[in-house]
Amino acid sequence: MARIYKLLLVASLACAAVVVVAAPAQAYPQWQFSTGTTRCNQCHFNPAGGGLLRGYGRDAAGEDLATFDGNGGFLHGAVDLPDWLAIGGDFRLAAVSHDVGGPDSPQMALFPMQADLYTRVALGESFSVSATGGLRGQVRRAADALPPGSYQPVNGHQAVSREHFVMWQPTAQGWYARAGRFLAPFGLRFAEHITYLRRDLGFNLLQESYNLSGGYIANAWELHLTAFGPDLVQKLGARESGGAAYYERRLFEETGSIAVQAKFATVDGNSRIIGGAVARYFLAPAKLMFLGEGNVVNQQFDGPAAQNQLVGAAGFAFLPWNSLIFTALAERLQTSIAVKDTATNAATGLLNWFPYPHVEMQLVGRLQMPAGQDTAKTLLLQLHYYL
Amino acid sequence: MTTLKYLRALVGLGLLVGACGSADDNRPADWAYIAPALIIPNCATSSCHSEAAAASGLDMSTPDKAYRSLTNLRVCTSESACGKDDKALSARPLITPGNPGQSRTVNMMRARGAERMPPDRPMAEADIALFEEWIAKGAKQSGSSN
Repeated sequence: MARIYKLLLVASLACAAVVVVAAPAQAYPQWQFSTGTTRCNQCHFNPAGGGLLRGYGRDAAGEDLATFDGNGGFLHGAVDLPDWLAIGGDFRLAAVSHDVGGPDSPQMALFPMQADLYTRVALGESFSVSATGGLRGQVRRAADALPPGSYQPVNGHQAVSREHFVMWQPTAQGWYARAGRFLAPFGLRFAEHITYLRRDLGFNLLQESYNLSGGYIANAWELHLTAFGPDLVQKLGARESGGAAYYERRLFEETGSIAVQAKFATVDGNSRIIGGAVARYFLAPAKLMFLGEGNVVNQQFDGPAAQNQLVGAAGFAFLPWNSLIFTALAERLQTSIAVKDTATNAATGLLNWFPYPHVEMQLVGRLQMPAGQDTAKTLLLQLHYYL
Repeated sequence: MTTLKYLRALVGLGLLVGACGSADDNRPADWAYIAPALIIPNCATSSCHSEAAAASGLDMSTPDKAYRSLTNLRVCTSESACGKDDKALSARPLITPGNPGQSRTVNMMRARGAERMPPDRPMAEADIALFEEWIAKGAKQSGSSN
């Protein structure tokens, strides 16, 4: 009996460390509009941002987005890659204190949080192949002793590929299409997957789906349409199938935007329809970006009546310099809008500092306040280096 | 001015929606609701009780697997005989039908003498209470309890 509880404890501590803090490479929505960029794909190869940086993004990282100037290029510019090849990587080390109540709190840990390598190979002018390979944190091997009948992991590999896709994109502005594994463009797309916008809408850590996606990108607007299915290859995350749509219109002379979005997802006879809106505005004189996203999730069950869920966040980012971002975010997750005491509110403060190209330090403080339950308190410090 | 109007409308809408909801909970204490609305979203994250990780031998990725994980797995009572002798196995008391207070899963959700589950955030009280109600009514997989 003691053995199973020991296993449970070890597994839960490992889970806690991973679900609380691990972060895949994503974009910084705070920089859009505030640094003179309008589109995510000005800095990133990905149409909706995140992951490998283009030359423009690397130049900006070297000259505009770090406190001390340096070279934002691959290996700090020591190696010139041919135009058809792009390589990058993300490495994170984190220290966390997490108090969620109970006899084992607060938990403290120092651990490697991310090790991912990216590559993109251009095939002519219009086509490219991109892949991300890295290590995931929590892995239990099927050989680990457990009583007969217990479930064994279907994937015991520590090495995983978060993203791999083929893309057709003749020009940075215009139509594009891609097929493969990635997160569908949707919502604010914070780097922090712990936000309810990501965790509870199907964009959590390693929840990339297999997609057929396409859309149109321009300075004034962008549209992304995605049909997605479960990860049948690595069986890591997404099990749902469905579709997602995201339309963003830039406003106020391209210092802000309003977007509408919808997603339909189904699995095991249950389905959910998500409808939401996203708004951002950069108030340049105050160096403040206001941002918000609200979603109503209509859940249909295999039997019981449907319910509506609320997932939203609103806040601001203060950028006294481009290399320093303070973001304050209020979040709300309400399991059922009809039942008030199903709500969890969260207040999150993020301090991102980019002292030198390729280097980021981040401090995260987060309070999560579920109705009628203890407040969970998380403090995280991470050191991030990207190739 | 136009910007301020947009912002005010956004904040107002957020407050309005956030204040919605009744104190009464009429949701069904039924596995067909509890599995997809509470258990799978909170437990089957990729690094924990997903099919890929199955932490602690528990897979909560589907309603059927989650039900079996909570109610029908066994635990070793003798390490040396575990896996060799069925007598060295007893029911794993994650759920005690009819008795939420003796159900380890509830004690974990409430961090009552056990590590908190889910480990990243406590569930809201109303969600835990509904789960307890389902256990109190026998923790059945099929059939509506309402």
